[in-house]
Amino acid sequence: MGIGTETLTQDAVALDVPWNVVVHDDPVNLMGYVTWVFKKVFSYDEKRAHRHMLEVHLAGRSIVWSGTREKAEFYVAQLQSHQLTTSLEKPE
Amino acid sequence: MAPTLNGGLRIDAEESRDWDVLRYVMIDAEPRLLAEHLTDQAGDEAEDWREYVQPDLEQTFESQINFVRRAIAEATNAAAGGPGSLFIEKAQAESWYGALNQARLALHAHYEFPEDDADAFAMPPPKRSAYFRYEFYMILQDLLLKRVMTL
Repeated sequence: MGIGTETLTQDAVALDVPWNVVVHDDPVNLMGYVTWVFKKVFSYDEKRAHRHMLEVHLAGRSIVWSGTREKAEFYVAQLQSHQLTTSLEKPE
Repeated sequence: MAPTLNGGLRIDAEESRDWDVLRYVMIDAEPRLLAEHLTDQAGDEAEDWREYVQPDLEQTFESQINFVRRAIAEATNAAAGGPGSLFIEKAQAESWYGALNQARLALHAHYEFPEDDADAFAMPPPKRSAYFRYEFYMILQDLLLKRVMTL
């Protein structure tokens, strides 16, 4: 009985860790468009959207949003429908 | 190409060949392959993504292509295949941008154009022709982004 109680506690902690929405660089999407998509999908202001776009362009990827799995999945699908290469990353 | 007073864009075709150039958007784009490619890149969730999200992506991309196909057909008919204009309204700009982007993504996947200083005249004819279309689509996208798709 003691072992079962310990397992349940670990599961509860794992659910609280945020999931990452990651956008990857590609050679086709225009930089202005990537900024536009971040503004549209996340309602980011110009400065924040531009910063994420530059990170994608220069570093090859940017974590553009972190939070609950359900919402992260929604955002990944939104970004993909705008043709941005996007992945969902599990918390470590 | 020119911006319109109501915030849209006008594309003028001077001869029948210009309509053919526009129709290449539908030939170049590959909606199903793009949906597959994006799904493959989804990371830890790729398996579920293939089942639940890929069909929606495919449908979105197909609808952009179908929209552009209809718009070009209507404009071509109105011009009887000769000189005429095609208008892109603000509300239609995202579909156009998406279709053009699909075409460019597919062309780049096939031909892997260099990002800077491409010498189109050193390319073999099929690649050269594809490169000019790629550049034309990009100019159209840039205009849409700067003049029409304002948030």
